[in-house]
Amino acid sequence: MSELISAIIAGIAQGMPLFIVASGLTLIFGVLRVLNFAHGAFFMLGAFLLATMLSGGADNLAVFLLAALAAAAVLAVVGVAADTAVFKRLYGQDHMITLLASYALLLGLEGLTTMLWGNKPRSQAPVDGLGGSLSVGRVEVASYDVFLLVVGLAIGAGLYLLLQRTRYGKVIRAVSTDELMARALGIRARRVQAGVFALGAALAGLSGALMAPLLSVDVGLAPTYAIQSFAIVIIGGLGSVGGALTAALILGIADSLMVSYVPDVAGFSLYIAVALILLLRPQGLAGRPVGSAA
Amino acid sequence: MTAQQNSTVVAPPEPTRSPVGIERRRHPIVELAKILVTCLVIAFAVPTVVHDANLFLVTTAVIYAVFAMGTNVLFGWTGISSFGQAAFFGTGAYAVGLTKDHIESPILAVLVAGLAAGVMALLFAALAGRITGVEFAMLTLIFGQILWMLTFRMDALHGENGIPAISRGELFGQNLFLDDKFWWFAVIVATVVVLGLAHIRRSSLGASMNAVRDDPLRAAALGIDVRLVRALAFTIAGVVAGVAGGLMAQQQGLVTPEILVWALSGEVIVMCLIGGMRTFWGPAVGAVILTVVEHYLFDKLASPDFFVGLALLVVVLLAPGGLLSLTTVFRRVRRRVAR
Repeated sequence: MSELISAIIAGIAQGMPLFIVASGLTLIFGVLRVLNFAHGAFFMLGAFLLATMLSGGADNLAVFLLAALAAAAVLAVVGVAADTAVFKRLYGQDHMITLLASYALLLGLEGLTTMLWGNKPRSQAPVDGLGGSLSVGRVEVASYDVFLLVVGLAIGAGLYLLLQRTRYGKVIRAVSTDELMARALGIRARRVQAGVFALGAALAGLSGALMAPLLSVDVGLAPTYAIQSFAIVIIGGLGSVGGALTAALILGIADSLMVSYVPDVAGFSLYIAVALILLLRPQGLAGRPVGSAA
Repeated sequence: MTAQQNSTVVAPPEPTRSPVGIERRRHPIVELAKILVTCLVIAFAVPTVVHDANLFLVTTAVIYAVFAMGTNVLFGWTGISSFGQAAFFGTGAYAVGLTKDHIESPILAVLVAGLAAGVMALLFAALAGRITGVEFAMLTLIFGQILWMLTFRMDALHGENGIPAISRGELFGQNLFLDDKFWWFAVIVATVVVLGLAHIRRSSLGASMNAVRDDPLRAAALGIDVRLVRALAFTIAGVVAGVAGGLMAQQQGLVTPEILVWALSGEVIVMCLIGGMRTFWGPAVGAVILTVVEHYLFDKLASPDFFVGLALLVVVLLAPGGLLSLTTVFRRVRRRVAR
């Protein structure tokens, strides 16, 4: 029994970072109907920026968070640039075209990263004080996982409040539901779209920065996290933030259960879980757009 | 949104896509003969111009061209997105690798490669029959990743080292070990595949594929079994990818997990896109361009990805129909100038 519980807790700890990564992707799809494969590259850039700014170490949490936010801000700018240069021209086109364009962007950013930072992977030490572990009952949980859990819940709640409880959220939902009508009512839709893209890219950068201490920071992160966040978003239902959270937790738990009970599948258990869920529920778990609920 | 609302009131305008199937039809024999002549001209002309290492490279390009043309059955003909075609390419390659001690005839080996990949594709299509669109693309990507990881887990596949020393064999007393002999073998296999694809494209199955691509609902209303057509398209693409993978294993003499890497699934889509998905030869042209340019230009650079990405971005934004679509643009411009 305690094995089951510890597997579930480990699964939640594993699922939360996935949600943080996927939240920006689902936001961009929900509002702009753009499938942004380059999301993984934004994530990777966030990790690289943080590791460069802190040059591998971090003394206290405030500095770490500040660096993570700075990385997110840079990525917001990158996002607006990508939106203006590429995606703006492709709004309303076939998914396949935007997917390919964003794949091209992913390749380009990967290449650019290799040029700027070289081929050698970097590592980032966790913040002092968050390197240890806490015990919940008989179960050991890494403090950093708890930190990510808090951050993930904060991001989820923040997105919900932003979209459902603020005027700006109402404007975003209006543009998402009917861009033409929103324009007719005097909303500067173009500005809203750029803003949403910036926010989505910033979330990707933030998640990359926050997860840098757990990862080997190299260009391989881009495709890995592009694939994983896509899996989350598709299973959660394209465009649904709440669905992405559910999907991330379910996948994290399924993954950790499989690893502890069927050790042979370790490494691709996440993929098996995604495949099974897609085969059983092709429409995803929630499948509601941003306009109807968060 | 508004376009859809209008269409219930006013008849929608005829689609202005450049059709694959509706061009002026010649007699089937004439059309197949034209393809045969094209292939023969290439087969004879290339070895007189390029030799040695370059001939090896062009042979690789032809193999990728076969792979790309098969993949375009999905993207261009049927409107299916797959991000996992490397899975079938790799299945074919590993099939040749695993049977290298049992099968001597290179033709038989390539057939086994196509069969293995085809069975794999058919099973996948049968399992995922309900799933379409982006979800399907995701599932293919995941399938490819699982196969890739399996190569490290299954002892018979030898992980990172792969399966070395795959012989090209002999055919009609000709030792295919020589690159100029293998060139002929690859081109003949490619020609057979291309003729087969051309035949399918002209058939009622080809027409059904186009109908499913343009409007699945209308196709279903016309009595087309959409799921069956999709499954058949996926299987055909799988067989062709397998044959190409088998050829690749023979040419390189080695199969490693590299052949199953998801980036290859992306690259073959890039080939289709660069050449043009709405033309028959487009993917082949794209494959040759990308293979040659990558070898001579990008591989010399520190980060080829940057330039591949940039090139792809330019094509997507400026010529989404691919490079071959530019010929129709030129033609239109010329007509306007003449007027």
